[in-house]
Amino acid sequence: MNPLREGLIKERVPEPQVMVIFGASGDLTRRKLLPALYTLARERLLPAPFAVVGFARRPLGDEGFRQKMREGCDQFTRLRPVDDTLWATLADAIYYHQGSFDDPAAYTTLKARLEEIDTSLGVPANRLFYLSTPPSAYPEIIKNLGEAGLVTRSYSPFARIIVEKPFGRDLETARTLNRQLKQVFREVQIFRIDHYLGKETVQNMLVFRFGNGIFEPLWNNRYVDHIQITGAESIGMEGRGAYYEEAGILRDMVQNHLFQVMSLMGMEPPVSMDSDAVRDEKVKFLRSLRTIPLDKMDEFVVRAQYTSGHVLGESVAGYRQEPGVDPGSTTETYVALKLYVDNWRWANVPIYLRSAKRMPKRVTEIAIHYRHAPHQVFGSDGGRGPVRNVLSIRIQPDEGISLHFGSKVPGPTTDIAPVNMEFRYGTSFGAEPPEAYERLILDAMLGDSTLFTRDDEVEASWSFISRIHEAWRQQKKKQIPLFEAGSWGPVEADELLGEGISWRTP
Amino acid sequence: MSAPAPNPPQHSAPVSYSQGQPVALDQAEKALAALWRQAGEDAAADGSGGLTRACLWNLVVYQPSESGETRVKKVDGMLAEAAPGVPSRTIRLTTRPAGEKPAGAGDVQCWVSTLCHVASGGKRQVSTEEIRLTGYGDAGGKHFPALVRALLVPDLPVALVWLGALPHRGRLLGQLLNLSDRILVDTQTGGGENALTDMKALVEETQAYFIDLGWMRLNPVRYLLAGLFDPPGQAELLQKVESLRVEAAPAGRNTGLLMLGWLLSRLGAPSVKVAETGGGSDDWRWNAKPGASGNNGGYAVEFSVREGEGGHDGLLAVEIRAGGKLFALYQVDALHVALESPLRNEQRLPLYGWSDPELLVAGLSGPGTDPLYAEALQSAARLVEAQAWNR
Ligand SMILES: NC(=O)c1ccc[n+]([C@@H]2O[C@H](COP(=O)([O-])OP(=O)(O)OC[C@H]3O[C@@H](n4cnc5c(N)ncnc54)[C@H](OP(=O)(O)O)[C@@H]3O)[C@@H](O)[C@H]2O)c1
Repeated sequence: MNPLREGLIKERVPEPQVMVIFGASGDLTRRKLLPALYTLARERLLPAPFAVVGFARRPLGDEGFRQKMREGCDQFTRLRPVDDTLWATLADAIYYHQGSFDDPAAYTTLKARLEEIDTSLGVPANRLFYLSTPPSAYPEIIKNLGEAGLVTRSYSPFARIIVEKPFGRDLETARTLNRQLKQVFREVQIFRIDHYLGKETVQNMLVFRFGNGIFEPLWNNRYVDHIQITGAESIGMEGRGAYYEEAGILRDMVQNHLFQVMSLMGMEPPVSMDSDAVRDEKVKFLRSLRTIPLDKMDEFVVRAQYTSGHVLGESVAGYRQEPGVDPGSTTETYVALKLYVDNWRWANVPIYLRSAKRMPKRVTEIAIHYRHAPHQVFGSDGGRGPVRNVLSIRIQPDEGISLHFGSKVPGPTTDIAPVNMEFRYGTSFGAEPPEAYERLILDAMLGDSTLFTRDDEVEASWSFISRIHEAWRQQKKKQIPLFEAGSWGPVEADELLGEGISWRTP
Repeated sequence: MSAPAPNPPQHSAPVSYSQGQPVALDQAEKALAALWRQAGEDAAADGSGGLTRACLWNLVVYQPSESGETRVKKVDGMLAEAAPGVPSRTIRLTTRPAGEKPAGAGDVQCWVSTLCHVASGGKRQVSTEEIRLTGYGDAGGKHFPALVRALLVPDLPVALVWLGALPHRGRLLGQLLNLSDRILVDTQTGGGENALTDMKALVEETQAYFIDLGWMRLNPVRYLLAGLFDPPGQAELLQKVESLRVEAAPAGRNTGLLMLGWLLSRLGAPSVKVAETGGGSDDWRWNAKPGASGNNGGYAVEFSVREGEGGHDGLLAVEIRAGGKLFALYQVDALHVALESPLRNEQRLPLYGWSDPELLVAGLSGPGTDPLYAEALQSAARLVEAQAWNR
């Protein structure tokens, strides 16, 4: 043990390491990864020494790559304008390695390059690989990394790998990818990213539930009537129609982001904040989701597509008219699910979850709808009737929490009006929350996998989602429900809800 | 789980509102509310969208008249710059000689002001609301604790900011400490030659949560030095330390001694003795006698103060000789250091230093007390005490 390191790790500055980004000339690197690294440098959270090596096919050279990354930072980093002096010191440690993923020789030269960098920086061979490539390239990169001897299974020096989404397209492919990864890396070395977990509000769910004494006692079927989870986007395909045809919203949003959010909302208290303790509880929750019989899928899951309409003052085309989309497509751009969790806490509390493109606005939230007071003393004499208490946790935008309750309207009557008690991140802390990628990259550098998805977790959520895809395949439908872009979804989705319940307008 | 990252101030220049006249002590809240309303109306009128108010801390800032005008101004500037990162109610306590009391004024006078910054989304935000209390003669000592109790925003943590000089012990400090969750001090700029020994006594006596900006300033350098011993086989050499040497600029004297204190406490040296060859006040030498854990023969410890090139005012060099090898860090310029070790050629690296407002924000955002600090402080104070004995 290095006595001078003692006490430093607690302050979350990682050990010296070299990060290798595969797919470094792509959109994600420019838009998210380098801007996040710049911000980490700005906040003094990058290791020292540190270097980044970008790996991709096109000929860029170190200088060309640095230039491209600088442009990305100018455009996308959170703390603008970019500080020239700070950028210059960061840029000194940015390199580009040209090669093709399927060329073993490119990995041999990469290895030599990394060793050179290690020597010049005088650092141990700590590696953080980042797969920011089309998912089809993952297997060959993983295999080639292993064969080139670029991956150590030791703790020190370490090798870690961050894997971008999507992680598989069904249970089978996710299992295969897990197997391929584990031929080269141990599970503790694998960081499957779900950027929703990097969001402050998602992490705050744990603090809100388990760091306060008053909410958890009301977090069960005794008090909760039902839960609504919404993941809505106002945008359409943005040129990604062909990709979307293969994916659909269930794969693109629900299997990963919304199931993550839902597990954190519904899981049992972990024994500690240790990464495995938290993830054990999330897996337990996912495994408690009630299996939907294949022949009853339509009673629990509604899928739909948007047609042309108007969103945020703009006239927009329907899904089938988007470039790259089959005019006869049955790919869902909207999905609503009625879920039950068969465990002690949530028995018989329905969770209604919906996600869609081309909704009236972009919003992700969880709303916990409480039962009415058991006896309505204000019901008879002319009040507006009972107000249902709703606790809503807004994940984006306008991150915050609000509690909806009834209050007496000032005056001589006992009229009740619904009011909101609000907490807003921006207002209370006066600071912008960090970008999800900043937090996640830093955690991977530190080896903290709490906010990353574990193998069994990914498989548990795919196991549930793949069953829905299987039922849809069997149905062989030629047409799915339609709804107008800019509305909150098809009428069919209303029928999922229990009596007296309607979808929230978030 | 949590990453207490500081929030570097990124906001535009603040807009300030203040009450030109002193307000009655029991009207301070009301006067603040009026300023807040005015700021809100202005924000609505100039189209900046409205006003939100954020408040995370109560900051109680003590600035006795003997702090001196320059230091008070420096701390003021630092607080204003840090404000968007730590939106707060600031209760500023200043003292003036009794003779300066305006005719007809009470023993304690009160002014209020607010400081608005434009936050993200263009909304103007009240980052700081300030209540300034000026006590004439010994009135401050008598009245401040009760006034602070009355003026704190309930349920928010309280930080006592005592930056101009080190806190002097007494009834006022005792009472303010009772109200405070953490205390911000700076052994580099406050307290002069005895800052470290005074601070050590204060920590031991009060058992309070001190955040020393002088210690926080060392963080980036500590990371870099620790990194020299990460490669396999290097940490073991720390069992065979032969000498430690630290050089600091005059303004960084206490920081340099704290650095030595950190090294000694990490390497295990429960006692030090001034070496025969001890020089003057700018060139100190000791022999460190290690404990049971290692470093059998003891080692030499050297500290010198010299003017830094290019106006550097902090740490200039740290050298560790161990197992016949040299591990060193030298300040090159304000943004770079050079590192040297047996495994690397001399290498220039960026040093992501912290500005004072950033240190303040980090001190308030972080987890609180650092056990390593108490140990480093104790070792540093031991060096100073040994030196004093020898004089
Ligand atoms: N973009 C986003 O905002 C976003 C958001 C969330 C998740 N993701 C995920 O992140 C990953 C990357 O997305 P992206 O948008 O950055 O993709 P992209 O823009 O298509 O970039 C793909 C990268 O892979 C490289 N590449 C492809 N085939 C290669 C080969 N055979 N040899 C060497 N390099 C090769 C490309 O290099 P050349 O172009 O130089 O050939 C390019 O750098 C994907 O898995 C995506 O699902 C992206």
